[in-house]
Amino acid sequence: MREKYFESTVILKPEGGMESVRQFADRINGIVETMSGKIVSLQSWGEKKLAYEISKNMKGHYVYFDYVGTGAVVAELERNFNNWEHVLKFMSCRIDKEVNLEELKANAKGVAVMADRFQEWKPRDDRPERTALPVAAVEATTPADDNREYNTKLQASLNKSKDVEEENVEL
Amino acid sequence: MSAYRKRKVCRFCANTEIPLDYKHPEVLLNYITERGKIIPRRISGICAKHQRDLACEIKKARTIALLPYTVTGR
Repeated sequence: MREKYFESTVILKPEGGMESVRQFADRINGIVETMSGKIVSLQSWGEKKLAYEISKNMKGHYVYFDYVGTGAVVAELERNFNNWEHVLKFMSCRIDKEVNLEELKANAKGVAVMADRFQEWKPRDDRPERTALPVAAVEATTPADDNREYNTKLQASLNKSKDVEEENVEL
Repeated sequence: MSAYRKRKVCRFCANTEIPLDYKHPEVLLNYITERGKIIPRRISGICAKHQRDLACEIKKARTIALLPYTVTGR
């Protein structure tokens, strides 16, 4: 059977803490290696609140790992997850990205190196801030505005004087 | 009343750095309602291709309890 690149996310019961995560890592490593697969990396996302209750638990310890192996490895892992009491839920997917499996296997970190807590994505803050109009632009606009104001005032005064003249005529 | 509206741009096409992945529920949260339903693309402005991927990733995130299937008012 052809080898492929898979990833699995598993929710463990929160009671065990990091000790149960280490035990879990050793057990999955044993299963994958006996079936001639290779675990590329393992991440512990820590204790997180679940979006819904799973067998009366509102919290769970998330563990994520990706590995290279045949479909039989996934089947064997999932069969074991179903039997282990401290596994609340699991999901395995195939990673569709085009990857070089040999390279992945060669650079695999295995389960010994446990990556830090899962990093949330945040938008980058390196966009330049919007500032006020440059000084030159401000200077360029002011005289025109002054003129407009002056013109309206002039127009108003002219109108007034016209009115006065008309009144005078009437008188 | 003017009928002109600003054309919406697909956020995932505009910025390819945004991860569209079930492992990043903080991004997916923008595309579900308070009740947990997937927002249609006529409202969110996402292109057809990314809406297909988005729906798939939201469903994966629901499976692994990173996003809710439904939020009731209990």
